[in-house]
Amino acid sequence: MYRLLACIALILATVTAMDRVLASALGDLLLRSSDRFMTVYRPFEAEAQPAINQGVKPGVKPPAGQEEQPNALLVKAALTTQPRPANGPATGSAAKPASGPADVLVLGNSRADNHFPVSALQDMTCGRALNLGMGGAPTVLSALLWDDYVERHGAPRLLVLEPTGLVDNPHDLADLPLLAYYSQRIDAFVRQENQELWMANHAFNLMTFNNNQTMRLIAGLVKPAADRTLVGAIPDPMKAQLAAAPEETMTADAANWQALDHIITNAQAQGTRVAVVITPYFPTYAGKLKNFDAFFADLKGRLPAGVTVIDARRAVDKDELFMDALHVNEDGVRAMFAAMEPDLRPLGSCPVDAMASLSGTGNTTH
Amino acid sequence: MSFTSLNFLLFITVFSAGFMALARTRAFTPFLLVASYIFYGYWDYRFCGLLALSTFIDFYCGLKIADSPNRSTKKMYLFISLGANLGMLFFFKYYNFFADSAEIALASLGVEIGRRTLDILLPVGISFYTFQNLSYGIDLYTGEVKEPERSLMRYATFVAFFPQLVAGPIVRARDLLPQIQQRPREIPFEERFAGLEKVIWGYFLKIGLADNAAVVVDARFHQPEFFNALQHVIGLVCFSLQIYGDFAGYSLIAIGLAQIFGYTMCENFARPYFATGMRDFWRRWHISLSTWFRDYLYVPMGGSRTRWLRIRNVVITMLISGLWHGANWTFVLWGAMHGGLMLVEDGARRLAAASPVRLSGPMLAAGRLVMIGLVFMVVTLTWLPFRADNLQTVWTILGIIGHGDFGLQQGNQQASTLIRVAVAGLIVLLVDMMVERGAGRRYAGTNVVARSMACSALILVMLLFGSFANHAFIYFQF
Repeated sequence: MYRLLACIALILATVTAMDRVLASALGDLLLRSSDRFMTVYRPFEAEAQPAINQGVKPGVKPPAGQEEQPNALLVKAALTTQPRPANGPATGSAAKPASGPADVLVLGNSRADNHFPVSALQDMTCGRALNLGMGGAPTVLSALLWDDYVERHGAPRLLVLEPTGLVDNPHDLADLPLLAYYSQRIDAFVRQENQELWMANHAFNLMTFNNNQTMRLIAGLVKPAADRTLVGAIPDPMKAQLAAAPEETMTADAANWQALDHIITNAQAQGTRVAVVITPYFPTYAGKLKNFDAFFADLKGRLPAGVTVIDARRAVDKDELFMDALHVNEDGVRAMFAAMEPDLRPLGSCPVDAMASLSGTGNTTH
Repeated sequence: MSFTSLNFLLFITVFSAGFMALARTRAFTPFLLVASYIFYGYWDYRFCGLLALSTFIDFYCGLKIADSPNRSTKKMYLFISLGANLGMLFFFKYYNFFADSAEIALASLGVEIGRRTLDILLPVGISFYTFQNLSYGIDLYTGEVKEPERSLMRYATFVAFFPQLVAGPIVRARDLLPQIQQRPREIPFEERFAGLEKVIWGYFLKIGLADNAAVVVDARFHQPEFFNALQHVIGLVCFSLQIYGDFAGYSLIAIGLAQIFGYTMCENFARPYFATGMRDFWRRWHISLSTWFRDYLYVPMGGSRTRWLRIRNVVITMLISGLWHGANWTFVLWGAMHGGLMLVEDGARRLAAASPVRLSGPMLAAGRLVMIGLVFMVVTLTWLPFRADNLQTVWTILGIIGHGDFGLQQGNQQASTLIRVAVAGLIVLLVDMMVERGAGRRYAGTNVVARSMACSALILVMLLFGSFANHAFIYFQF
């Protein structure tokens, strides 16, 4: 029995040593992936690569009318000479990285992740975009990502916030635990929310990488990440099930409201324009949400002055443009962007002549 | 408590310390008994009462069967044992099922009897220890076991032996009882180490393969309408892997633990997805249950003495086997499908025997490969009713598969989980293939340090790809 115990000790020692070595190597390797979350934590020189065409699918023609758009990279180069708002502390900060922050940052849950391809955003805002939408992420997690991003890169010019994460469970960690390897803030949050997971991750560092996000990062090493726009159409059985589903009520936890307030207040304090963009819901599902209008009216009422609200909940209404109840597909994203263009484009940095033909009505500024 | 819980880690550490201190003393059997009851009672202490009652009845009946001077008295005590065991099993596991089914049947005839189901808690592992107890009484009656156990403590330890109590293997009294009577034997280090390897491999099957596959499977069976034909086919393949990893994993952990402590238990799985026919599949899948049914049901009913007896007995055995797995018509359907497939195979074998064509060499090898693939596909299809909560779900999924939409949807959030399943599945396939080709013996002769490194590598893969969401073992519900 003692020899067996010695073997168990040998196995444990080997596992512990290899765990440390492999986790460290994997951590460094993943940092080199093209994944958007790694952009937050990657050393600055790696970020100097322009991400302007990241995510454009090969062989996919841009929507009609966009061929004439000025090269966004050139626009960006021109715009970087423009002064930032006076109240933007990130401007000129000694800690500011050489490449600077993205011009447009997207935050939210999967509806942000899947609805805002950076290529489309860059075309529309003429600025470098970064989408930090995370599937299943409550607003609490978006606030952590916001703080980490601003701390490392400075504030973006425009923050696009998809607010549906308000109704997600504020204790869900989604794909966040992996990022704890790179961020003390997130590590502390994981410890607060799930002590058991935190202990396991610290006992065996490899467990920090044991999640779906790691797989996506590894895939990003092999093939640069494409836009995460969904392809496919909502199946008929799902439509029938949604039609037969009972009514639901949208509720948001206080922690998510506080996180939303924190993001917006902090962004505005740093001179970032904030656009709260409510993306489309499948009409049948929206009809099942008892307080659908009241919830978003309440949301709009809570937003501080200066926040632009783009309410695109009903911007897409054809069934074939949806992937499921909460997500539009590739064509739906195009339709959504076309509908939002008059409100979204003026928030970007495109030269005035590029917007001359647009009638910018419909948005609400609080 | 579950083998995959942290509590079990604590339990086994304390047990190991106790084992090292007490294994050679008279206090060991009481210690093992108490440990087993703590292990079992951790789910719900009330289960221990039922286990103790069942144990006492069979212990008493066993003594009476052995000591009774005439056959009729022996038979009476055998029937008491059978009645008590099957009665408890029926009440806890099947009462609601039959009451529900009767209610629906009568309602369809226009007779309303009102709701008759009871709020019954199903004791964990009741099917396993009931069958273990039944075999003891029957073996005493038939003379397979010559001497009854005269110590209640030893008999109770045999029934409650914690590694295999809740999900098997179903160990026969003639195999395990003598080992309990003699206390743990002194075994060579190599045997203990082989036990440790089984435990680690069992955990890999459970955490690496089964629990990852469970994520894919659960989503599809929770909302089948949301997935297309391709995704359901992937889901069914994943369930094939899940149930194998889950059950074979549990069995290996149980067998390995017992081996570490000096007890030998029968093999329960022998790479079933390498089976070349349904008969072969049942020689490799849940061996302790299939041999139990063979010895205590199929053969006593006449076995395959005539073709008619073969058909009747296969159908009855497989239907009861289905019902043993769960109180639901889906399990009955599963059993019926397996029974039907075995009879089809019988027919195919008769045709093949009459055929003048004989395969040999590469053709035979290719034929074996085709048969392995075919059996896997057929078995995978039969898992559909096994996994489905009700027959409606079975028809829904079959309808979707029949619809034929095999398009690959982009943005599938489970792609990452599928990669984990693929990684674990590939490792399991490679290892099983090597064992199937006889590499097990060569590996057993390898240096212990090298084997320790292999164990470490497996644990590292588990840390990186395993699912630690602590899913319960599927067979606990049986």
